[in-house]
Amino acid sequence: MTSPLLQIRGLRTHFFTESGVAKAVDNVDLDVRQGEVLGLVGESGSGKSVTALSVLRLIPDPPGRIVTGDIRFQGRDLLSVDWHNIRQVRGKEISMIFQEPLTSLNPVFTIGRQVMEVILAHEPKTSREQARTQSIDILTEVGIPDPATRMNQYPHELSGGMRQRVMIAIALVLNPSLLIADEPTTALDVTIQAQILDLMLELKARRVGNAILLITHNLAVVAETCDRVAVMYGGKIQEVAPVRDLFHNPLHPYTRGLLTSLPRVDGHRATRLTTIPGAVPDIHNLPTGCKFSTRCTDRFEPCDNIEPQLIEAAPDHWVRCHLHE
Amino acid sequence: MTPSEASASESILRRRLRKFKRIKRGYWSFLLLACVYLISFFLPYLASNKALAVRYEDQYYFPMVRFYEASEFNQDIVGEPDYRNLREQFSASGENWVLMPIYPYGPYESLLDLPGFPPHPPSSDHLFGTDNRGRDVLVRLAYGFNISLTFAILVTLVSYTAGIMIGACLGYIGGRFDLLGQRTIEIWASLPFLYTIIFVSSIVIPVYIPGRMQILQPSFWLLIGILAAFEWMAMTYYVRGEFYREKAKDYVGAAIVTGVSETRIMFSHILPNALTPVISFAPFAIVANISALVALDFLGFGLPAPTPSWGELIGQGMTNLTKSWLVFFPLGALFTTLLFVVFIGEAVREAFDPKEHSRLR
Repeated sequence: MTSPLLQIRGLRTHFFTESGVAKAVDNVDLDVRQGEVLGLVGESGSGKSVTALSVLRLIPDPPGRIVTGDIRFQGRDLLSVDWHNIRQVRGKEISMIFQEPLTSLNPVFTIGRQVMEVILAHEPKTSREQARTQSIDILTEVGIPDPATRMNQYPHELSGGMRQRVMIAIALVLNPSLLIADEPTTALDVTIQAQILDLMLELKARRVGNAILLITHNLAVVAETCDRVAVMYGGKIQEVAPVRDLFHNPLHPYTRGLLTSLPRVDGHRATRLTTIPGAVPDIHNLPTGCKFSTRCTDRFEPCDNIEPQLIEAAPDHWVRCHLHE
Repeated sequence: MTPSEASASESILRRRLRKFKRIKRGYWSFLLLACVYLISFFLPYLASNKALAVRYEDQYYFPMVRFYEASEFNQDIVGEPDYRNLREQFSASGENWVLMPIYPYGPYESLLDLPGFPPHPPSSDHLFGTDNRGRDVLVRLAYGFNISLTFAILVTLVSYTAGIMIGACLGYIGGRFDLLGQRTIEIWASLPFLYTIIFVSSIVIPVYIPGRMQILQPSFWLLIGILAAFEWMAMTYYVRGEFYREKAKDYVGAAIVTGVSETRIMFSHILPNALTPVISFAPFAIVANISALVALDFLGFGLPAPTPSWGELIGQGMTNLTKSWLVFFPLGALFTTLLFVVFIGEAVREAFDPKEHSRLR
């Protein structure tokens, strides 16, 4: 097996706030392999976004800081490169798209200027004409009709779906090896969501070897698009498995809880939606043992005190639970 | 708005400009003031005691460009020739002539040959009368208009540039730098402005260099510096606040992930979005600066004599309350100018109002 595109080992990103230390990401190991779509799933505050932001060193400091860890991208250590070089990585080798396409574009500049800026920032030798043609090409590719006209329009003249297409165009114009999509469809209508996801997969298929890290809390999106899934809870990876494996044979009680709380449209008589009992523990005051122990229905004696390790319970299926040790 | 207009792409700024043009009172005030201000730069050719051109003994002279001795025109005085006198002399003969500006009196010239003692009341030659040194009030008001407005615009520019830069840095960097900067600004802002002016003007004696343009006078720039030094703080508050708000917006984050440099993000991405309150405030800053110069001149701490100044004329009006032309004309000029600038400011504010549709009436 070739070395992964992105390798995260022992990442701890903590936020030092007035009410204590928030261990948003606590000892995360994660690989994004060449050419795959990896889904990173978890509820709000589980540390998915902070993990992604840590990769690009976008943690606001203060209050946040990457305490320890090792992030290697194509073998290069991202945590030790200086500020100038991390800027070279951003947008060119690793791109990111956010949840809010409506506000992610600068309202005072035209679409064209914002696409061209990325090209000119990373490849200063490109002429404006070249950058312009390149921008029109990528806008065509992301399915924006009449891109030459759209280039001269302002963000407020485009719909939400169009703006997310522009964001994807900006993210992909320099052909980065990794695209981090942080809930790219959350703010969009359901019909547009499917279009945007299809577009992302289609663009990825055309760029051989490029990978996507898809952060979402929508399991339906994961089932549709991902090759592998990582489930996060309480700042830790709880389960990593190929997508079929995870949906057919979930090992971690949290994953099982997530899957049973999905509403179903097939067969079953209308019943109350199953939920996971309890609430997410306070980030400043996580349990000492298993992070899920406060809500777990299968809790037994070691769970409260001993933190389980991430172990390979089945081939390529990793889980962090005492039940499987 | 016609459909074709709506479909055309338009930047926010251009839309606001279009809205500004629709607000007739402000727009026409702007046009009028801009025209008059532009014309006021040509005042030396419109109102001066120097001739535009002289033809004397088959030779042409251009006193605007070069200085001629009175003796060159066979006049019996020392120094500058009396061109008005020369014109009367030449009008008898056909050969020689003098071409004078439309209003042939200068701002520094004491008209002591008028009957009676200065200040002289308005007459057909001197429409607004003369001041206590026998200088034509209309000419001095006109020159004073140019100086006041130039002064106010320059102070606004200097203080805005400094205020925006510093406010941007405070807001963008934030944290301890912001805290320290804010406290320093507060200390600086609590310095009493008028006392500082009095101290400075007693140490640096204002010099007037005769024959030099107002913009090239050192005391003019000194005063701009002092006023700007006390005014930039106000802008930092607005810009700092705007930067705090804008830097948290998604488009800034989106720009950071594309690897754009910090200075570019600050000045190219955030600044245009942070300028709205600053721009709508600018006309009122100009009003404040005109008033400040008038007040300082009135108190005698402003531009050195004999600079044509509104404040100094208003001061003369106060000491000569019976001479109505020394009271009404300078105050009238000040009032009219400020009124027009306020009209502009009102229209700019209206045009830049982001809440045009949601306002509850």
